Amino acid sequence: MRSLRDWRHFDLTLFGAAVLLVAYGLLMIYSATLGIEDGGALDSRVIRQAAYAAIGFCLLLLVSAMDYHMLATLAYAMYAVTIVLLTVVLITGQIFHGAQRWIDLGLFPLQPSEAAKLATALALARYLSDRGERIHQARFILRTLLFPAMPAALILAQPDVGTAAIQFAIWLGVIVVAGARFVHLGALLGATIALTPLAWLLMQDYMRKRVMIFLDPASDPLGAGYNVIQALIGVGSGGLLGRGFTSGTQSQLHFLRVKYADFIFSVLAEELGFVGAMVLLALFLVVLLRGLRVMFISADTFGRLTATGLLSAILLQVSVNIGMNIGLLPVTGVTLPLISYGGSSLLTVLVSLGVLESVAMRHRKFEF
Amino acid sequence: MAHWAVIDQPINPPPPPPPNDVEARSWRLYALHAIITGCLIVLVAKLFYIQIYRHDHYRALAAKEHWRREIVPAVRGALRDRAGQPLVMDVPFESVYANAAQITDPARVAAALAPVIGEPAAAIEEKLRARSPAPTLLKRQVPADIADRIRSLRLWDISLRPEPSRGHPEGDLAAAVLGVVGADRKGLSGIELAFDRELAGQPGSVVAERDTGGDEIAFGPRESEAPVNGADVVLTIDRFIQHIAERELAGAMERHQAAGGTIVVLDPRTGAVLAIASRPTFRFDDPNLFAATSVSRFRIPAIQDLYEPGSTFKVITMGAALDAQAVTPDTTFQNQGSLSYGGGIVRNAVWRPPGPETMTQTLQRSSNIGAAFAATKLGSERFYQYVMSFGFGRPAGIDLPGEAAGLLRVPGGPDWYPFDLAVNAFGQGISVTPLQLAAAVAAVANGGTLMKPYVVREVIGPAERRTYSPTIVRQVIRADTARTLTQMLVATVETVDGGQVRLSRLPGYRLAGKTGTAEIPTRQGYTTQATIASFVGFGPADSPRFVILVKIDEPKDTPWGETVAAPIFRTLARELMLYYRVPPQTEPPM
Repeated sequence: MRSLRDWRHFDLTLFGAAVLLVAYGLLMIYSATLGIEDGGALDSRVIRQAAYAAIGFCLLLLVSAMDYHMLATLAYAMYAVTIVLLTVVLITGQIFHGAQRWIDLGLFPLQPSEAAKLATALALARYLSDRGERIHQARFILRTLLFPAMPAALILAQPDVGTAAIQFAIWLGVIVVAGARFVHLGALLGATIALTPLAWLLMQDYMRKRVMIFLDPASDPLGAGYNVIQALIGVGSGGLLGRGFTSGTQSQLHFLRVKYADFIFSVLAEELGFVGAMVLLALFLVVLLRGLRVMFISADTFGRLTATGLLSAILLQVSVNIGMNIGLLPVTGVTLPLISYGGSSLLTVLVSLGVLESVAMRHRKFEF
Repeated sequence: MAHWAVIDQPINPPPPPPPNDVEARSWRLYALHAIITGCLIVLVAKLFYIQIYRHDHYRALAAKEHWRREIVPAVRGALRDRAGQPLVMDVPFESVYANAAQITDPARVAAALAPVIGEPAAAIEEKLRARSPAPTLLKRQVPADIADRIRSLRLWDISLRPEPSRGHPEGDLAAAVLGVVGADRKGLSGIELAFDRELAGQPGSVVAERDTGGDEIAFGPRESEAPVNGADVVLTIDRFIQHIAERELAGAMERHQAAGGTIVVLDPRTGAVLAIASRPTFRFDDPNLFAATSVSRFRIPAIQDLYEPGSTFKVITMGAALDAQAVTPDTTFQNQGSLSYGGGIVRNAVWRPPGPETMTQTLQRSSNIGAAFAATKLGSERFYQYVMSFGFGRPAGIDLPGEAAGLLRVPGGPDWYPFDLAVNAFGQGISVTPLQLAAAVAAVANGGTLMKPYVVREVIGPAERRTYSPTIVRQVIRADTARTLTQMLVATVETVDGGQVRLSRLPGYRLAGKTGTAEIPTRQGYTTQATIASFVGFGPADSPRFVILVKIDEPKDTPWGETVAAPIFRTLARELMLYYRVPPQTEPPM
């Protein structure tokens, strides 16, 4: 019974950290949505998020039980479907806060840009594991750039810069671990820096505004800079121990906007303080290091590269989201994995962790 | 057990070398480890800087935006009639404001508000789309039930601020006297202006936690300084008397197509104003209340408009001459159709055949020559002493703003001529306010004492209560003179002239009074085209309860005080006798 034995290698630490993070997130969503509904009733968002979490953990276990090599077979097909969905969302998607990100599936709205992270990671891993020997060729590396570029272009058109950037983070992580040469990576860095002024010219007005706001939030304190300032004030006024759960004034008094989604970290840091933030970061550290361990022990290149891509996405999301909450990075529509409100994001991250578990469970080793 | 608890510890037992091309534990994976650690270190460092090192700074910023000192308006005092019935009181309206810069979905907010505040959604949305950083006024002064409905919508960035308004339970009753309050809640005219300080009270303040809409957090901690509500002002005005005075005035205005008019009712014993009605006036609900044409109507003609009293002034002349014992009621002179005095000639308004005339008859017939005779008999020095003693030539001193002094030329003055004595005697060449004349006649009614007219009898504040008592100005004429003059004025009302009873006569009651028909002076001289028909009188004659002055400006159908003003006096007197429950007396023998 091979499959039953596999479960001995199921990474309980990784799973436990994920459970704690999702629970932490639900608590913070509860706090952030308090008072939006009448009469102190439980906000529907908390219930929806809990339902997504339950579905997500079921999917995590289901994916863990599956042999991840099956995903290698499906990788290109999934990637193709994602591209189609991203195109569809551009045409028919629902506009929310000025961006088209959702497809209404009737049952629930789907955000294909979240699923695209998974699809790109798998497709890239498949492509590079099939042709790993050519990683030293510059032309090959440029060709692999197409994998993130296509979804990124479609996501950018929504427009959602942050999520588009994650596509490239996945790609970068994967080619580094796949063995891309130093010279090529250096050239890439140089090219990126050289193209930055061009990017500024191509940016839409709102993007430029966000960068300007990032550089100087006080330039428009009631307009675009508003949430940045409010988030920063929230985090800063939290102090060591915070104002107490559900007692954050920035969040409870509605100074913060969409606080249960992209700015939930600010709510957490204000209400639970530096200590609460450290607990959160420690849990993320556990997830990331356990993920890194999966890369170390992976039985094959496809598993390792898949794990790399997924971990890169999570790492970048954590850094970018918290970074924008504390004024380190400009505001982008990047969620905090496992914490922010949003079904697609939660499901994607949990399925990603399922893939990591699947790889961990099937690593090659001596059996005793 | 081949399970690594911590990845960067030496592994025991060592795993087999992976078979694939990339070295599993190459430096690349360690680099990724370093990147993860590096990212988290940067986040922790920045968090430490913000949350621990700069904590006080951000805490202060948060406090600054959450804690706001807000002014709580005081309730402006009510104006009440003498029985305590409210004539003006604060209505707790609230105004709807939007924090437009923060509204992300103006269309939704506008759609939610539109049916509640009754404005088109498109108009609201347009205001919101301006995204003004200052509070945007969406609707001024909605009543409490609408305000509650707006609150129940729970719209962020929509807030309500108390902006009470003045409500008038009795409509436009006594509008000019009550006065107008501006948008800044300051009194602009009438009692609202004169007693603004007492009515306004002291605004309080609340220091409370606020959300972005500026709404107070229901259970947020707060420290507050309660507002001190304004004092109620109790007037001497009687709601009922004011009402009938306005009703009669309005009726007369229409009946005679008059240009204006005034009715003043005083209590002669105290000087308390029972009613002041004037036309034209304004309406509180006039949408153009503050347009220039309306503002001119904020005036109170009874105390601010000057007019020549005409024959009604003969009461004063006769009172002076009697008191100085220059004449008695039976003093007789020979009417020769005209009287030359001081370079001028006095004639009667209606020619009478020459013959003897007593002072009583002078009043009964409203004889100009008789009045001039009495005044010249008295002499200019004493005449003007009495006139000033009756209160003419200076404000009567009522507690309303903007009172006029009247125009009185006296001997020694720059443009006084001896002939003025003869014409002043019958109310020409002298200008008075209706209130001045009413107050002077009240002195005759009450036994010779000039009382200072007043309209506020009590100011009832939250802490103190101030009562205004009647004020004696001076004794103008002796009590017996007043009694004698009253009998002459009763005789005037009771006159039967060619089988015709006077229109001021009220069967069963003894009323005293005098008509007046004054030609209005213009730049070209007196005009017979436009007159002021007036009547001043009081009753019951033996124990007066009221003085009534009726003045109708420019009646079009008939110019006479007798036909225009006297019937109004009689109607009011009848209503007042019923109101005061004065039983009718048997008709005295004629």
